[in-house]
Amino acid sequence: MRIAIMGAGGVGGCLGGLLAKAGNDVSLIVRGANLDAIRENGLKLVRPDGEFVVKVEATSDPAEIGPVDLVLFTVKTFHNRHVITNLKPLMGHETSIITLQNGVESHEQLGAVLGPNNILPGAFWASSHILEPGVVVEDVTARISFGELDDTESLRALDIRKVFRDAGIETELSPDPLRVLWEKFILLSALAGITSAAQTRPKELLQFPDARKMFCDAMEEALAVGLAKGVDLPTDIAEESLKYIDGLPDFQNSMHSDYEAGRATELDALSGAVIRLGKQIGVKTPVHSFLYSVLLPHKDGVPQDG
Amino acid sequence: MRIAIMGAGGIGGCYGGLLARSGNDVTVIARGAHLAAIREKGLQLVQPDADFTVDVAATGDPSEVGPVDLVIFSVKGHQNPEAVPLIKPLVGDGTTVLTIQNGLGSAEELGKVYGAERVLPGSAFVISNIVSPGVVKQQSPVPRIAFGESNGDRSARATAIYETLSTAGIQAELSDDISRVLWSKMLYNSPANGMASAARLSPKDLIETPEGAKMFRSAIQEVADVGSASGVPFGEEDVQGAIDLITARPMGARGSMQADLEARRPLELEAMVGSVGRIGREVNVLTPIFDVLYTLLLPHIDGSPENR
Repeated sequence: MRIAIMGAGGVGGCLGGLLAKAGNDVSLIVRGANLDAIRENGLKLVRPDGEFVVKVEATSDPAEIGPVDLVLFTVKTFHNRHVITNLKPLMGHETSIITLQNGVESHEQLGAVLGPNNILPGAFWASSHILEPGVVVEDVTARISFGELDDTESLRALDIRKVFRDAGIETELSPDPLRVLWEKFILLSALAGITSAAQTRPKELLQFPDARKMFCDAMEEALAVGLAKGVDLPTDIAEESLKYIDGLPDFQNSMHSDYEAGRATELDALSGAVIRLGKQIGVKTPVHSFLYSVLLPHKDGVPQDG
Repeated sequence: MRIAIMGAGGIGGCYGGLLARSGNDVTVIARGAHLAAIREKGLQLVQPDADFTVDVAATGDPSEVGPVDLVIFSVKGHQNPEAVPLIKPLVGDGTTVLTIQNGLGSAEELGKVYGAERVLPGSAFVISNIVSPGVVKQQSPVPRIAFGESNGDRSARATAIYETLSTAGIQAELSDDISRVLWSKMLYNSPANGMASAARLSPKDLIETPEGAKMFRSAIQEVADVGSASGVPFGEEDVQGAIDLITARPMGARGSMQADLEARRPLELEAMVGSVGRIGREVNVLTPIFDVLYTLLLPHIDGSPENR
């Protein structure tokens, strides 16, 4: 399959490496040192069970690639306003796009520019990051869930699933991708906001009963917004998500890492979206509003030297 | 006047230095490198327009001092479990303990041990900190202090203390409503420290964002509502006054708790933030913002191990 990956960071690099290794024609759209390193040395993926280097096409200009069968959209959400139109040269008559961003608004943002019919909303679970230019570390094996918005098992979706599975990526074709997105969003928006504002990792923070309650309150707010918007969501999601986090080994949420390192954060796609969507539909979101107010001044990061 | 300063940090050191310079018999109770430096070279106070060093008695052990006329109790609130019993040798029949700790519960806590009649509640209004062992820097132009008898009387002892403080160049206010003074400080100081600590930003930088301003106003309103329900009524103009105070702070000026958070020292979280929620529950006023602030800052309350 001809695949272009917009944003070869932790998520895109990991998927791109696996898909290329399985024989697909993969092009990465990247910039800067990462681009130079991938062009020169190929893309190196360090997995829990070994590592490999694979040669992939890499460019900063989608026009050099032209129409593809599949686009994976994996940039950080705060780049959306600049990069969505850059996808146009990749779009042919049969091109599908899977959005694999955090938040619940990507498929609508892309659909508004590129037409909704090409877009398959998806979510990605893993812990992967760029170790150095051209080198991606996958700490937890990647898993993907995506699907058609109209909950059909389309041929294109089945084809894509096969390509992913053949590449060794655990892939689920969901009949209700919005539910999948929202389930991740409810957990992630609360976790990212609270651990960033507390500057404390989940393991330590969730030892405090007050923090557990606040975490659940924040999840309940996002759940109420999702339910009001008509998304079919399990009402015990806060409880289940808390159990899930309790069962994980010690880790640091990526927004907390970005905040701590002075990088831009996905606040607008997380707490910001809870508040925005809540306002649209008349659901109050006091915990997320608080988190947003104290994290907002840092959302663009601090200017980096050089 | 024979005076002991329990806790010669930024604020205690500032008042202690000024009181010693004006001829009082001042002993500061301090620890570690700060104590050693004061013993060796005296206490240096750097003011915006002056800089002097005074020879003061300094010790880590109050039993070396014996009963004094006045104890100024200026340690951080989280040190109370240690510091409250420690001043016992300083307190005799004629001793007054003037507490200038942040929060609202300090006089009551000291009163339980030493008798309510010996304790005067007060509040410090000065930005001052230790810049190096033995050296205290007063940042705000005029060091102020407000205090008074809990019942509002202008007692002879309160008047004597007032005169001693005034003579030392401290702008003192003998208040007939000290409870209101303490609450009024809480009204801006708790939101400023709590909100800015959670945002890792100066209070002024935060309040200048629209979202921050809105949240600040709600936080101040919570303190006002708890105060009002506790018998210290606050109106719209008081809330606005607190906002104006925070807005007027010099850009970058941090509250003391925020400075402690940044330096990973123990936090006065209970007195500054926890107390609002606690008193709120007693008087049936909801404090959602202060509850969240407490939750987010609680993991940092003890500071890092090397600073405890």
